[in-house]
Amino acid sequence: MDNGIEPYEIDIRTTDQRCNELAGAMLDLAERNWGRWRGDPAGGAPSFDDPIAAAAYHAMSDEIAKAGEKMDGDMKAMDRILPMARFNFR
Amino acid sequence: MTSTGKLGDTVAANDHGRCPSTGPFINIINNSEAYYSSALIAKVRRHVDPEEGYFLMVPGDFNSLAVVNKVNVALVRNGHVRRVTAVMPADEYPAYFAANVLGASVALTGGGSSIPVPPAVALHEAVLYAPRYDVARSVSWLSTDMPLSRKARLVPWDTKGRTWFADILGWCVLHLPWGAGLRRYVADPLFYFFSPVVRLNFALSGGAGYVLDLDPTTHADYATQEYYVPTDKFGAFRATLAAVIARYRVDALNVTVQYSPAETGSMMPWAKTNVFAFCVTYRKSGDPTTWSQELIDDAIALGGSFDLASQMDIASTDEILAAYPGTTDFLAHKFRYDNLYRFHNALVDKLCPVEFYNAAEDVRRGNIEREDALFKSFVDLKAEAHQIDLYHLTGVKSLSEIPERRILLGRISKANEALLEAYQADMKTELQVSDLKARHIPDYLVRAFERE
Repeated sequence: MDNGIEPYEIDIRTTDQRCNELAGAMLDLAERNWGRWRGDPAGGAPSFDDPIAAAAYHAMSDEIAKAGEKMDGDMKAMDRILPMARFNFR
Repeated sequence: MTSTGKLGDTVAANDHGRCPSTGPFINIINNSEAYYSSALIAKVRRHVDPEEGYFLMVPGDFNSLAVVNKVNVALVRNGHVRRVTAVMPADEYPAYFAANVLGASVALTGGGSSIPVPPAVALHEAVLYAPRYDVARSVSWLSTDMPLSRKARLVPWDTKGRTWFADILGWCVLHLPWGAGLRRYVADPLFYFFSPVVRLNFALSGGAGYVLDLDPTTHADYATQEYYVPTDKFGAFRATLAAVIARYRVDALNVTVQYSPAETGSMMPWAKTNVFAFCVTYRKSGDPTTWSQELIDDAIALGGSFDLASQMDIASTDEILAAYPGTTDFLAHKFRYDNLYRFHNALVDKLCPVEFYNAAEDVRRGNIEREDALFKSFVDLKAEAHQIDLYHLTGVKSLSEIPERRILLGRISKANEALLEAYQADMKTELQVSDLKARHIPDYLVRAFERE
């Protein structure tokens, strides 16, 4: 039933799917450059020896961060509708 | 429909009175506050929240959507009004009405008070005389500055303020076999010979006539039915009405005609355009279903409707759907906001019997459970992914971890796709429509559940 939040749910799922693709690509990058990058013990981003790989990693990381912000925005929009949608058996 | 009544009933039925410039009650509501069974309190201001749907839901809902707590209505001053009448062939009445009533029912300006004065023609109705209903008496109450001929502010409720003269006339008209002729040629000319000047409230509270305000709640032998037809279809419906009353020998005591402008906003509008309301008061004898349905069908064919309050039991579901195209939306709102199905009345029980609602609830519950299961598996996978910080790879310690992470990503992706597919197909709707149809739920209810 149309309670107004479905478009946001679909948007979140689509964005999340893109995050999965990027995470897969990052695993590919890590695998291809194995031994030429070091993890950050403090939990930060790894550092790559190859500047091209580093740039690719950061580009993907930035896109994931932006996707996260987009999902936050969608969730807030859903929150605004939710008091109404909650009456709709949700 | 009457000019007097309980406020709650009036809102619930979106009633109308004799004021030709007002029409349905919803037209004069400024603000409203309603409580829904879902604990929602809807406070709506007509001119501030024009798009707010709640306002549109409550008047005319017959108390099936919400409990109305407050309404703020537009008032007019309790000014002086003078009665004038005119008798004419019924077919000339629409032209007379357009020239003498509609053109003059604009609001007057006048001053000193923030409450506006009544329109020039404050109240109006017409009586159609039996047996052929081809002669009309127009009865108008005009705003005036003339001194009062009756000082009382209201007609006493217990006696209806009738004099012994009016009582005798009323008894003769109602009970003698030649009462109709007596009324047309003797009683009404005598009764309307005078042109009293009274306060508006007095005219509204029952002093208008002696057989005009038969109240079915106090006269168990009588009942009323009302039909609404577009103003340009007056002649066609009047002819059908006269023929049906004659053919079925309906003991019609009174047929009055009132005007209503189109209403703005209710979900179940009975005045979709400017209409004449034909109110038939009849003595109960036999089953009125056959002749009522014939009149209902004719009103619908002419683009009109009928009064749900008095004909709810008589009208078929198809007739209700034809006369009130908003029924599906009305039911959709009912299902959405009264989601425990607490408020019942004859209309709701007729349109959506409880067994249909329960069947829909079973289907809905099954769909929600399926969707919840999908969502739960997805959330569990995401939690697992977050634990190892999959997206940022900061936890990757060896090459051997990568295949495991790929497997986890694959599972997340699959669960995500399943959810996405469910949302995109609007699983709750699509599954429900087919499931509802499988349970033999009528199409209009399926559409209502779908729109909910």
